[in-house]
Amino acid sequence: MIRLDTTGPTPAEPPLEGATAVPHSHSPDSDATVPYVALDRVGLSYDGTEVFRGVSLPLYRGAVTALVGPSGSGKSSLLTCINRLYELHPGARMSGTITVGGEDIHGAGADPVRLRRRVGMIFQKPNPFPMSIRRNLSLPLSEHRLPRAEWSARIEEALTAAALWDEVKDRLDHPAQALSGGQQQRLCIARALILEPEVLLLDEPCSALDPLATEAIEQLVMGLKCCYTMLMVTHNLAQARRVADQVGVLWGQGQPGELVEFGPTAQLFDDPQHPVTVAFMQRERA
Amino acid sequence: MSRPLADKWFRWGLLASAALSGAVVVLVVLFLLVASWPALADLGPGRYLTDTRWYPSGGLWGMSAMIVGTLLSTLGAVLLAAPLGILSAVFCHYYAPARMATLYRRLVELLAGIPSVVYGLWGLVVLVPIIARWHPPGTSLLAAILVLTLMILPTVALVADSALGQLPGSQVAGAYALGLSRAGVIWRIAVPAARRALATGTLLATARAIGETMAVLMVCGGVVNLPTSLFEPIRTLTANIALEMSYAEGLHRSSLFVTGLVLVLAVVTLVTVADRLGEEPTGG
Amino acid sequence: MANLLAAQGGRPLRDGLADLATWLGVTLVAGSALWVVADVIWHGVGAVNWGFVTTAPQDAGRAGGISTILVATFLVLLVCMTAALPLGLGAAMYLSEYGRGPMGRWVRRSLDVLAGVPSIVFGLFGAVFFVQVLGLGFSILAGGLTLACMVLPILIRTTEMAFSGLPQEYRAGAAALGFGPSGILLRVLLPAAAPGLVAGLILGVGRALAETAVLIFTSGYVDRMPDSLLDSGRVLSLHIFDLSMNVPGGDHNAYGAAVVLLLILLVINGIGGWLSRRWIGRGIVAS
Ligand SMILES: Nc1ncnc2c1ncn2[C@@H]1O[C@H](COP(=O)(O)OP(=O)(O)O)[C@@H](O)[C@H]1O
Ligand SMILES: [Mg+2]
Repeated sequence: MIRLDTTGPTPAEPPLEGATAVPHSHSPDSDATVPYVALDRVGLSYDGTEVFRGVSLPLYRGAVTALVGPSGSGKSSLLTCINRLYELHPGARMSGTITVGGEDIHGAGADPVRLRRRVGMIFQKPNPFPMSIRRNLSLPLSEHRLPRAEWSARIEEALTAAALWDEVKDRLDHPAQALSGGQQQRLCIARALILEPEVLLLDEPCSALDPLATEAIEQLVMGLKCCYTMLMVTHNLAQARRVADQVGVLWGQGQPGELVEFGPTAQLFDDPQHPVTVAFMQRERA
Repeated sequence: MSRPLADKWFRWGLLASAALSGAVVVLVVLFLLVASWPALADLGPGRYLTDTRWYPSGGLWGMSAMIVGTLLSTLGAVLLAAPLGILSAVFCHYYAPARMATLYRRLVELLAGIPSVVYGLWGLVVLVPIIARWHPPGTSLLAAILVLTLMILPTVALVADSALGQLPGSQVAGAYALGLSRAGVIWRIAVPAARRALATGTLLATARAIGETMAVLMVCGGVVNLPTSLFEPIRTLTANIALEMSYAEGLHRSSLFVTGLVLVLAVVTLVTVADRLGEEPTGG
Repeated sequence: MANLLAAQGGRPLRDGLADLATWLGVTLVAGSALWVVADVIWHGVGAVNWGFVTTAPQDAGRAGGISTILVATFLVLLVCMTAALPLGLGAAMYLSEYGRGPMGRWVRRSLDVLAGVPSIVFGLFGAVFFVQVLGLGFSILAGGLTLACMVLPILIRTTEMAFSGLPQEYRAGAAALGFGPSGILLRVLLPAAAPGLVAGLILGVGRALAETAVLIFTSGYVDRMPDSLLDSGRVLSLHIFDLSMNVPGGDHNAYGAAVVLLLILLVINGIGGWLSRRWIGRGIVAS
């Protein structure tokens, strides 16, 4: 079942805005005291060129972690480490360890296909397949051999969870690419949710969208917060402040990126410690 | 079957298809070699050039008349088709209004799509009698050249068209700004800048002309003859294969395969040179 | 100063000549193209009627129609495409997804060479390999398979282009959903590339239909109704050739067959264009 505020088994309490402590400490859920996803000194290189290095980052269930930083600092690349999508590039090498739900993603018996079912990803540019809306959603189900009898229920559930059902329920067999950009992005979220993942990676999900569609996606992300472990790359500091519980700053200009600062949202915005963060915040505000 | 296993089989399947597709050309050359081996071993390549006549049942293997026939018909067709093809491309880019250019391109594509037997039929029924009225017998080197010209013209025209289309607009605008006339811009700037692509197109067209069989066979007369004028009948190497393959035996048959081998070598060389030319940047 | 004036005086004349040459050349080309087509239609349309396409040739083709020829043509095409399509599709997928290594380079290179081989040489190859070595004899099977070798390069090239032209986002998107290589290729990329595949198929069928030289020594001349794929069968283009070259008084029916051949090519190309437009129109293709 796709977990939502209303239907989720044990929804974690949303962390309080402006809390000084790390968000998970407020949660009654014992799961949430340990990071669900943990990156330990992770680095990535393409064909020998290091993109970032030494990134350690805890991601908690029921929290949104925002990753900000200048473009080219390796934010997208960092996301692709968590679902091993970087392996699509033959020259890419990852170092360090990542655990998802306590399991090393490169450990013995680990399988990228199983990992990617648990870790959904939303891309910067909406990328529905050039097929009907229904087919976009049923394709992952059939690829993973889920019983056909469940398909239509799951499709409705996923579209509802992505706040798209009412808009498309009468035209499920229309081409997905006829949808607006915002609808396409929500379809992509539905497509990720339909596999019932535990983790969602969002790579600047709003950067190709207009303000209204952006707001809809932000609402959606907040609504999904309770039940997923989410890591969202964003360019928009105001958005990070609105949506995220904790924020990391990935910085690298002309040299491999590093996580220069990481902490609860309020602390990072009100009292940034690292000079680079201070400068970045100021530049982005201007 | 489990998913990883299915994926493994799938990859092997793709690899096998690719390998088999790549192996076809090896197979073709191999069997040509095997079938032409008796003639190459018994007669040696020299006899085909030194023997005075082509008379296989009498032990004479001279192919020079047919080689000359192939070369002359190809040369004539390329000499006509290359300028016409370039003019066609120039017309589409610098003369014709958009709609007329589209219409004209369609016409050139139509020309490219007509099967070679249909050209042959037209040549035989329409062109040959016209030439015959002027200079009998009509089936001749000239007829072969004209039919071939029509067939290879689209190759030059389409390559030239895309080459002219890729020229940076600023170059052309700059030339106009220097006060050059339209013809000046075309012949001093645009065509020289596209010369590599034009050479590529011409080489590809040459390759096509050398390898063409049916249309030429139908209008050339089929007589093994060293032509002294455009109006004499000829026989090309390809026509020779088509005419004699059905009854040839032994060394004769093997010799036809030698011809095939030579044709492959010639055409592949031309295509390779054309590809090399095409890969390097245009202009410069 | 005098030189400058002279140059300017010469220029309009030269420009005028260049313009004239262009118009003349283009008129010549367009005129010839129209001449060929008009001639074939003019002479051939009278021969074509329902009876012509439904009766068998009689009196060496002078009389009767082309029904057996059409059947043989269809069967040869069927064999050709049945062999070439799966092979070509597999090879194209390999080249577009895994073709950057030495193996891919070798396959591409071989296909380039194969594309340059003259069709009469394919005929020679087929006459030895399929007819003799594989023992298929003069048959529709031998002809179709030889033809498959010939259309393979064009089929693979267009198909590969259709695949590699797809946005990288489809691959990443599917992989992120846990699709394996076969899932990505067969379930996502294959349907997305369908219009390009159809275009390639059409090109291949067109090439195969127009081909004559390949089939003279492979599928043969017999104009009876073929009983099986191991029977000899005469294709349409070869029928045109034979009627006009070897059968005195066969011109009329040769023209009729030529009109039918051009019509079939026209219809096939039309269907191809219509299919891709329909796909694009339904928004199934990213535009
Ligand atoms: N597939 C790749 N191969 C080689 N270099 C890459 C690849 N993808 C990204 N890069 C490089 O890695 C760096 C980080 O890219 P990216 O992760 O997209 O940054 P961001 O998302 O922060 O803008 C850039 O310098 C980019 O050029
Ligand atoms: Mg990015």
